[in-house]
Amino acid sequence: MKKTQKSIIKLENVWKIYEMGDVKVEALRGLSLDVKKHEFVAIKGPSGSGKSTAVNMVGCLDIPSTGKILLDGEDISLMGESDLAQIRGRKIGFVFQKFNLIPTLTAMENVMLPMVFQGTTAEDRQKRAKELLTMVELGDRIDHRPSELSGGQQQRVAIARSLANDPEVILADEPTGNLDSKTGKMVMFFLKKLHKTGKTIIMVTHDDKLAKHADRIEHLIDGKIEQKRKKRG
Amino acid sequence: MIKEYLNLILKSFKNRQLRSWLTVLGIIIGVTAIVALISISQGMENAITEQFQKMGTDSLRVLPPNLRGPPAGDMSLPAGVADYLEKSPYIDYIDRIILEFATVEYGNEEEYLFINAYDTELESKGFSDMDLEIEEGRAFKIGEKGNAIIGYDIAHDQFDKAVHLGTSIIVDGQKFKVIGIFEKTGINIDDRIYIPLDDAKVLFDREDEYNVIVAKVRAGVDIETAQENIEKRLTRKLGEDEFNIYTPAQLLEQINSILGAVQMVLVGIAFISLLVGAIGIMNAMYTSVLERTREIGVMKAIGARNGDIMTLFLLESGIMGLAGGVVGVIVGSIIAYMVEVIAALAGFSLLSISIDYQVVLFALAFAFVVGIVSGTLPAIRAAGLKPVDALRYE
Ligand SMILES: Nc1ncnc2c1ncn2[C@@H]1O[C@H](COP(=O)(O)OP(=O)(O)O)[C@@H](O)[C@H]1O
Ligand SMILES: [Mg+2]
Repeated sequence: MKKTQKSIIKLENVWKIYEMGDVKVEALRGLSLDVKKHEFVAIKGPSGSGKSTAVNMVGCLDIPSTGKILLDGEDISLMGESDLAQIRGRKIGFVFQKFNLIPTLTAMENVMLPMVFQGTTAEDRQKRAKELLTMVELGDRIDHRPSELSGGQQQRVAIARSLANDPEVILADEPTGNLDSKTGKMVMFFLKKLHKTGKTIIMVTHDDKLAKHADRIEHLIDGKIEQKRKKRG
Repeated sequence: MIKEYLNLILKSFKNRQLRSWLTVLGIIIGVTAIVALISISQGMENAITEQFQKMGTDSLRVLPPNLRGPPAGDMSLPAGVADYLEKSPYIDYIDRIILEFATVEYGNEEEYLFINAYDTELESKGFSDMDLEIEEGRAFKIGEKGNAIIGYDIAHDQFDKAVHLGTSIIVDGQKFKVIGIFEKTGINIDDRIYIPLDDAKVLFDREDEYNVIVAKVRAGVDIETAQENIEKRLTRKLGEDEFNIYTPAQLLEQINSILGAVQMVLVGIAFISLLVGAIGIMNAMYTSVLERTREIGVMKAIGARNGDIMTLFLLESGIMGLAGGVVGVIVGSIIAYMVEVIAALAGFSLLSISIDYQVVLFALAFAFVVGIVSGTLPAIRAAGLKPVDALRYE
């Protein structure tokens, strides 16, 4: 896919400080990152280095203590909760390590749920959910509950769900962390497929083999990007 | 939108444990009480009104003071009341009534029954004023003695063997021949035995002490004016607190006010149960919010606004309330109909229960609102959860 020079995500000197009673945890310490449209960026780093915190902030799940986060040129640290929710719903698709499907809903209903919150009509929801589940090769499992699906299948449902509102950005926080390497590869295959269709992808992973699929690997240590960046391609 | 929410909620209900359903019990009891109560008291009010219409609208009732139960035996009016009333220009005629419990023998059986003495001078006038018809036999003739007219249930149900016309019953040792049987009334008359006043005076050793006097107001006289005047003059003559004189409307009012007091107590119970139910729902909802913290985080991550989460949880608690309300309406209706059946078995067949659809709608709406109100605090907590924190929750 042709890369443009246009930034879609830009973090400028972002600090995140969690205060738990008297203890202050500096999860991010001046993180700067620039992700271009259609880019596939892998983030690596030791556990506790702030990867999830960074990804959650890009995904508007939280706002920085200081610093700026620009999503499509808009500063999300200035937005209210309701606007953030709308942006999450429309522009971001999440894939979590723990799948995080709603256990009481079927695969189909899980994929339709993000569209419910955007007010999509029932007809459109069903059509799109079916398409997406077929794309992740689960067209024959649409009425299954998460508990009736394997880990890899659940993660594919989660991928389908992340695409429900056709977002520009997919955020995957250790999407293969709970899967064996074979199913992990399968999930990776679908993420690459999404990248080819033009999505911007940020993926957190420990696995060097999977990270190699990305256009660029960023190393996060102690809440900032390590300066010697490895570039690929 | 609501439809999708309902789907979400119903699915989560399926996963609920029995424990959280038991918390709705308070709502069920409260709504049951409300529905049963309103239906029964409506039925009762109708029955009482009907019974009072049977008394006629132009008769005054003079009763002994401080009554606690039926005016029978020693609870009687002072001497002189009857004479005064008879001479009053407002009054057409009076029905002097003696009521007394007595042993009644029939066959080899002996029962303790209510005897109602009737002034034979009135012939059938006193009966027709009460809308009381004789089904078999005839009314008393003037001056007749030694005969009895019996209530429907006395004739058909009281004794092992039905009491037929022409047979004899023995009241406090004295023989009476049955000359008439009343039709079924649905009220206490079915269980009474009517004997002539002259016989009763001897039998129960009464001279001029009656338990009740019904005074028929002359045509064209305003019943309230009659009541006020007679009350004033008779009080002057006999003193305070010796008697009470009521128009049918006043009696109705009195009984309804007793009914009202009973209702207040029951309404109180209903509201306490509802309060308990509300606390139960609140507790269940807090548990639900806690158990589904992660789910809430996920929903927020995929675009649910605080308002969406709030609506979802409010609707959920509202539905819990509504579910309790539905069960309560059903149980309450069953109880109300059972009361009707029991009342009929006890001889009070005027009570007819109908469940008003407005009562049902009110009860359901009320239960729903109670559910929503008790879910408000938990819903606010759910809506206010920070997405990152909710997603980290284990
Ligand atoms: N909500 C929170 N409250 C307090 N501390 C947190 C919170 N989220 C993350 N942290 C802390 O911030 C640091 C970075 O966490 P995280 O971003 O989850 O790291 P990673 O994903 O790289 O393992 C850790 O020390 C973690 O304990
Ligand atoms: Mg992490």
